[in-house]
Amino acid sequence: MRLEVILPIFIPLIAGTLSVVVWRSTFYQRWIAVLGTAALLASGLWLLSAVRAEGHVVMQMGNWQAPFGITIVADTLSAVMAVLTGLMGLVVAIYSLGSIPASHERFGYYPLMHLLLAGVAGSFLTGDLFNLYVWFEVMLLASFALLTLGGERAQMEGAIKYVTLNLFSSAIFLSSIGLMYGMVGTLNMADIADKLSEVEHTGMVNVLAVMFMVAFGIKAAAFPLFFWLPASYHTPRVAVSALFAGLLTKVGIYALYRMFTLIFNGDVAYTHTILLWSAGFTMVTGVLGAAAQFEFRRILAFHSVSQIGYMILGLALYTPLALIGGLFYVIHHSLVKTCLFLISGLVYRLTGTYELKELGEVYRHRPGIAILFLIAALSLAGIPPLSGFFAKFIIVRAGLEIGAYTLTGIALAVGLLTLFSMIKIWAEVFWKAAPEGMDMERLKAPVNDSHGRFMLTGIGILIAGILLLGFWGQPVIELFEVMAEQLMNPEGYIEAVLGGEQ
Amino acid sequence: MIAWVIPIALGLFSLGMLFCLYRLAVGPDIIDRVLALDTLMINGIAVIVLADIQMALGIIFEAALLIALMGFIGTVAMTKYLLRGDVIE
Amino acid sequence: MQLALIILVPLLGAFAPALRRRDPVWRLALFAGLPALLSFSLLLSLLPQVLAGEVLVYQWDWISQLGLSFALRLDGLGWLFATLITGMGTLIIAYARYYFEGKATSGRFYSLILLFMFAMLGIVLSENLLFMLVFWELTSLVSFLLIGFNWHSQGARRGARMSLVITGGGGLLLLAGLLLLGQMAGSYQLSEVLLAGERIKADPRYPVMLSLVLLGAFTKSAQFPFHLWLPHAMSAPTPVSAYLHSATMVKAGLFLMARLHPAIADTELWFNLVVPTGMLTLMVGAFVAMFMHDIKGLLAYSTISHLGLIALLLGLGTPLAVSAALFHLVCHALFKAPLFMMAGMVDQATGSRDMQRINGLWRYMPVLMVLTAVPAAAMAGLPLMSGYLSKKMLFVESLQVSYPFWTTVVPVWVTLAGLFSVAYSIRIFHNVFYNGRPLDLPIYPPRQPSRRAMAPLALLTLGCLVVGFAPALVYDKVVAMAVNAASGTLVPAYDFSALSVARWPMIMSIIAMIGGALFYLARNPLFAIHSRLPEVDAKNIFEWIVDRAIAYSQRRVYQLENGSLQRYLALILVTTVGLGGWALLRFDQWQGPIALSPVDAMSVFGASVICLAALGVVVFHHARLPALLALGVCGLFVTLAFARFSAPDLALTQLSVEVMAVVIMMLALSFLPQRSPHESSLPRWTRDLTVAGIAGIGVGGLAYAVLTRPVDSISDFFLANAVPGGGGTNVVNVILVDFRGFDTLGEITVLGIAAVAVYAFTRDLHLKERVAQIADEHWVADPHPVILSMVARLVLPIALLVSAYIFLRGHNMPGGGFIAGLITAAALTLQYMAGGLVWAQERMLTQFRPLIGGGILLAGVTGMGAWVFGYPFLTSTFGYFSLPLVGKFELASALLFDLGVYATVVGSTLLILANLGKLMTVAGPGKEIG
Repeated sequence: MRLEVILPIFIPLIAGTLSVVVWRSTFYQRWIAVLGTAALLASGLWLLSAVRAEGHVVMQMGNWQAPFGITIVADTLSAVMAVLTGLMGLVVAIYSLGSIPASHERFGYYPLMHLLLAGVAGSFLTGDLFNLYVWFEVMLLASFALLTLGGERAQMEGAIKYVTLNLFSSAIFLSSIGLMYGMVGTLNMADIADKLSEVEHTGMVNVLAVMFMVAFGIKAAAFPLFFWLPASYHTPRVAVSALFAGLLTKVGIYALYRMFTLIFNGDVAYTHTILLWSAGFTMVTGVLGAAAQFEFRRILAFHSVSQIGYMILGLALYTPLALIGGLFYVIHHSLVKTCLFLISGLVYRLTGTYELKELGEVYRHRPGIAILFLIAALSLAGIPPLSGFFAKFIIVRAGLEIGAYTLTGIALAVGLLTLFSMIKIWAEVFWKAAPEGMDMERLKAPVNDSHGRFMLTGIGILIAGILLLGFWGQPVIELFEVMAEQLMNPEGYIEAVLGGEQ
Repeated sequence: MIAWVIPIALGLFSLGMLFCLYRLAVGPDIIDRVLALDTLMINGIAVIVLADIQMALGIIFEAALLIALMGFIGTVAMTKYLLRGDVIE
Repeated sequence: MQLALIILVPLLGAFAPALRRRDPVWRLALFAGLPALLSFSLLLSLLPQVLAGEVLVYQWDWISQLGLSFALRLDGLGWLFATLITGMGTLIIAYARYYFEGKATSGRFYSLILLFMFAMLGIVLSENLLFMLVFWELTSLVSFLLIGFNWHSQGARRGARMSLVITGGGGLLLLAGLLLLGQMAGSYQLSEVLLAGERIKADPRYPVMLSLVLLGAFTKSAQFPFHLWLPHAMSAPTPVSAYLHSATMVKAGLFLMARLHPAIADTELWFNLVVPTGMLTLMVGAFVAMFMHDIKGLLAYSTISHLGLIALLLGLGTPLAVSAALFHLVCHALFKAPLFMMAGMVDQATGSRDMQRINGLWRYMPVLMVLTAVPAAAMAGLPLMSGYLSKKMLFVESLQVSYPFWTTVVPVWVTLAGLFSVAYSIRIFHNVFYNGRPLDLPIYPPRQPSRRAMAPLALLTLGCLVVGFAPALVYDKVVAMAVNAASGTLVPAYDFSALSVARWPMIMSIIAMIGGALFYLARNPLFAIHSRLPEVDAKNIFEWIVDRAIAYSQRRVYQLENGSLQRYLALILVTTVGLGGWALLRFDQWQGPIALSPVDAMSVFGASVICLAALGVVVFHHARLPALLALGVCGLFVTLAFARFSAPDLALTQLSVEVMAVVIMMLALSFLPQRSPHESSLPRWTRDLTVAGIAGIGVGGLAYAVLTRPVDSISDFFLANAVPGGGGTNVVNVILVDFRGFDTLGEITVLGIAAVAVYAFTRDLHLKERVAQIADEHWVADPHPVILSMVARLVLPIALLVSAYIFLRGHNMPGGGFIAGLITAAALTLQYMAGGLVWAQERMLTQFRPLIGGGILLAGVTGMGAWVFGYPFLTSTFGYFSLPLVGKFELASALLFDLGVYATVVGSTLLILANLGKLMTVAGPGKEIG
C-alpha cells in the first residue's frame, strides 16, 4: 500500500469536503486552505523522492490488480506535476487570503479551490483512461464554479463559452474512450499501450489519436481549439485566473504528453507531424493575438496560448532533449504566468484598473513591484539567465539538432514578439506618465497591511522559484533527463503497472 | 400460445405509441403534447413488461415501476408549469 | 581565480549604490569607482603573462548536459577589450560624478553601469560560446534600462524599446547561429571551436550559420540597416552614451567577429557579407553625421561610421587588416569618449545640444576647447594624431584588396568617407567653439564646467596624444598580441615610418582633408538643401510598422476569435473531421469479421424514433416546451433501448436522470427569452448541418468498424469475479461501487461541486421578471391544488419504501445507491411541487450541504477504512450473515460506500432544485435554502 501516491489526490479532496462542512466560518476555511495546500505540496515532495528512488510508484485501488482495477501510478513526470500542483495551490491560497473579497469566501471559494486541485492532482496521477475522464470532470466543474463566482456579466459570458467548449471536449473524450475500449478491450493506460500494437488497422488507431488530440487540445488550448481561453481567463478574480493559468492548461499538456509517448507512439510520422503544425500555429496566433490587446490580463491570456505552443513543440519534436525542454517550459511557464497574473492583481489593487491606457508611472511610486514584474516578464521573454531562457534554449537546440529549422525559426521569432509585448506592458504601465484621472493617492497607499502582505508573499515565493530555476537549473535538468528517458521508453511504465505479467 | 400473443400485444402497444407520437408532433396545443407524452410513458410501461416476459429475464419489471413513478412526476411538473408558470412555488 | 574576480567584482559592486541610494553622489561614485579600478588593476597585473602568449582559462561547470559552463578565458584579444572596458568605465564613473551632481538618480545609474560592466566583461572574457550569449542578452537588457533612464520622456521610452527589440532580436538569431556553430565544431568551448575552422567552413550549414552569427553581430554593432537604434539611444544620459554607445557595447559585435575569426572568417562568403555592410555603414554614417545639428546625434552617426570602418577592415580579413581594425578600435574609443563628455558638459552648461544655437563657446570655456581640439583632430585624421595613422592604415589596406570589382571601389569609397569624416570633425569643433556668437541659449551666460570634471576628459586626451606620438608602443605591445590571439598568426611590427611616406595613402589623405574642409566651408547652402528634404525619423517608421502590424494581427485574430460560440464549435468539429478524415483516407475495410445480429422491427422503430426526436429538438428549438418534450421522448426511448439490451440498471438510471433533468430545465424555462434573437441564415445552417452530419456519420462509422471486430475485454474478469471478489451478483453495481469505486467517488464529487456551484450562484441572484409565456395567460388561482397535495403525501412513503428496497438489493439485483437516491429525490421534489417551497423546507429534516459533504466523506472514509487493515484505498470486504426470519443475507462494506453515494445524490439534486425554484418564487427570493 503506497500512501504517497494517493495522498496528493486525497488531501485536497478531504480539505475541500472539510471546507464545505465548516462553510459558515471563513476563519477555519482560511486555515484549511493554507494548511491543506501546504500538505499537498509536502505530499508531492514525498512522492517525488519516492519516485526518484524507485522509478515508478504504483498503487491499485480496491486491491484489484491491473488492468482490471484502477491504477494510480507515478513516474517522474507525474511526480513533478504533483509538486507543481502543490506549489501553485499554496501560492494562490496565500495570495487569496489577501485578495478574495469576503463575499466570495462565503460563497465557497475555498472548497472549490481545493476540489479543483484534487481534480488536477487526480489527472496527473491516474493510470486509467476513464478515471482521467472523471478527474477532468471534477476540474471542469470546479473551474466553472470558480469562474462564475461573483456573478458579473462578463464572467457569465466567459463562463458559458468556457463550459460549452470544455463539455464538448469531454464529449469527444468520452467517445474516444468508448471507441478505444471497443478496440482493445481495456481502460488501463499501460495495458492499452501494450495491446494497441496488435491492432492491425493503423487508420483506425490514427483516427483515435486525432480524437484524443482534439479532446486534449481543447483542454490545453492548442490551435484552433483555444478560444475558450481568451474568452474567459480575464473575467474572474485574479487569484482564480492565476490558478487557471498555472494548472488548467498544464493538465491538457500532460495528457498529450502521456498519450503520445506512452500509447500513440506507433505512427510517429502522422501524429507528431500534426502536433508540429499545431505547435507552430499556436505559437504564432497566441502572440499575434496578444499584440492586439491593451488590457493587462488579456495580453497575459493570449501569451499563455502562445507558450502552450512551445510545450506542444517539445512533444512534437519527440527527442529526449525536446521532452526535457517541453517539461522545463511547463514548470517555467506555470511559475511565470501565475506570477504575472498575481502582479497584475496587485497593480489592480493599487490603481483600480487593468486597462493599459489608464495606467502609468507605477515605477516611480512602486519600484519594488516594477522590479518583480520585470523579472517575471523578462523570464517569459527568454532573457538569460532567467528560467525562460533555458526553456527556450533547450527547445531551440532540440529543434536544430533534428533539423526542424522552420519551427525553430518560428519559435525564435515568437520569442522576439513576446519580448516586444512584455516591453509594451512595462512601458505602458510602469514607465509612461500617469494619464488623467488616475488615482495617485491609491497608488501611493501603503501595501503593508495584512492583505498586501499575503499578496506579496505569494508573489515573492514565485519570484524566488523563477530565480532558482534559472540559476540552479542543473539538478532540475538532471531530474528531467530521467523523466525523458522514462517517457521515450515506456516499457518501464508498462512493466511497473502490469507487474511483468506479459 | 404465449409465443404469438406477446408479439401481437407488442405490436398493438407500438401502434399506440405511434399514435401518441403523432399527437406529440401535431397536437395543436401544448397541453395535448403533455398528455401525449404521459400516455407514451404508460405505453412504455406495458412494452417493458411484455418485453421482459418475452425475453424471460425477470429483472426489468422494476424499470416499468420506475417509469410509472417518474412519468407521473414529470407530468405533474409540466402541468404545474403550464397552469402556474412556475414549478416550485 | 583572478579571472573570476575580474568579472565578479563589478557585479558585487553593483549592489552598493542600489542599496545606498540616498548617499551623496561623491560617495556613490566612490562605491562604484573602486570595483572598476580594482578590475582594471587586476587586468594590468596579468599583462606580463598575456604578453608572453599565455592563455589563462578558468572553468566551472554550470549545466553540463547543455554544454553550458562558467568558463573564462584571457588572451590578448580579451585583455585588450577588458582593459578598455574597465579603464573607460572608471573614467566614465568619475565623469558621471559631476554629471549627476544635484540629481537623486545616481544610485540607480551606478548600479546599472556596474552591471553593464559585468555583462560586457562576460562577453569578452567568456570561453564558452553559450555562456557568452547569456551576457550578450544581458548587455541588451541593461542598455535598455539605461536608455530609458529618463523614463518620463516618450522619446527615451521609444528609443529604449527600439534598441531592445533590434538587439534582442539579433541576440535570438545569434543563439541559433551559435548553436549551429557548436554542433558543427563539436563543442561550445572556444578553444576547440577556434581549432575546428577547416571543418566548420567545409560544413554545408556554414552559410546559414554565418548569416545568423553575422546578423547578431551587426544588430549589436549598429551596422546598416540595423543602425537605426543607435541615434535614438542618444536620449540616454551622456555618460551612458559615452560608455555604452561609443566605447563598449557597440563594439561587442565587432569583438565577436574578431574572436571567431579563425573559425568562420577568411572565406569568400565572409568577404561578400561583411565588406559591403561595412562600406554602407561607413558611408551612411559619415554622410548623415554631417547634417546633424544635435551634437550627440552627430557623434552617434560618426560612431556608426567608425564602426562600419572597423567592420570593413575585419571583412578584408588579412592579418594586417585585422590589426588595423583593432588599432582603430582603440583609437576610436580614446577620441570618441572625450567628445561625448564634451557634449555632456556643453549640454549642462548651456541647456541645449543644438549646434545651430551653440556657437563661440571659446570665450566661456577655453580649457574645454583646448581639450576638445585633440580628439576632434584625431577624429578628423589630422597629421600627428592617432586617427591619422589609423586612417592611413585603412587606406593602405583598402589598396590591398585583390578581388576584381572591389579593387577600385573600396579605395575610392573610403576616401570619400574620409572626406565626410573630416568635414564633421571640423564641424564639431568649429561650430561649437567658434562660428560667431551663441544664439538664443536657455542658459545664458553658459555655466562654467568645473575643473575637476574635466580631469577624465584630460586623461583621455592624453591617451590620444600618446597613441599619436608613439604608435609603435601601443601597436607592438597591445594590438599585435591581440591580433595574435585573434587570428593565430604572428604580426610583424608595423613600420609606422613607412606609413608616413607611402604614396597613394598620402594622396588619399590629402584629398580627404582638403575635400572635407571645403565641404565644411560650403556647409550653409548644403544645410539649406538638406532642410528642404522631408524629415525621416526612424522611430516614427518603426512605430508605424509596429502599428500596422498590430492592426493586421487584430484583424486576423478577430476573424477567428470573434466571440461567436458557434464558430468555435464549428472550428473544433471541422478540425476533428478534417484530421480524422485524412487518417481514414486509406481505410478500406469498414466491416470486420463479426457478423451483424438480426434486426427486429421493434429495434428499428425505437432507433428511428430516437433520431426523429433528436431532430425534433433542433426543429422545435424556438418553442421551448415542445423541445423539452421531444428531449423527454428521446430519453424514454433510450431507456427502452437499454431495457431491450438487458441492461436494467442503465435503464433505471437513464430514466430517473432524464426526468429530473427535464424538471430542472423547466425551472429555468420561463427566464429564457421566448424568441431566438436571430435564426441562422441558410448558408450558415447548411454549413452547420454538413459539419455535424459528417462528424456524426464518421463517429457512427467508426463505431461500426470497432464493433464488428472481435476484442478480448476486461469484462470477463468482472463477470467472473463479481461474486467471489465483490460479493454481489449485480455486476454493474459491483463495478460501480467496488471494482471502480474510485471513479464513483470522483463522480459524486462532481455532483457535489455542481450543487455547490448552483447554490453559490443563486444566492444573491436577482433576475428580471419572468417573461410571460402565453399571450393571454390567466394563471390558475390555486398554487397548491388539494388533489395533488393528497396524492403527493401518499406517494412519499411508498416511494421511500421503493427507494430503500432498490438501495438494499442493489448489490445483487438491478438497483443501487444512485437510482435509490434519484427516486428519493424525485419523491421529495413532488413534495416541493405539491406543497410549495416554504412548506417543504419547514418539513425537511436536514440542510442539504451537510448532506452532500457527509455523503462524500462517508464514501471516502469507507475507502480509508481499508487502510486500517493495511489494504489499499477502497478495498472492500463482505460477509454472509443470518438473521431470524430474514434468513441468510450478504453484507458488504460497499454498502456504506453506496450509502454515501445515496446521500450525495439526494442532497445535490434537492439543493439544485430548491435553489432554482427559490429563484422563481413569486414572492421573491426567500430564506436561504441549503
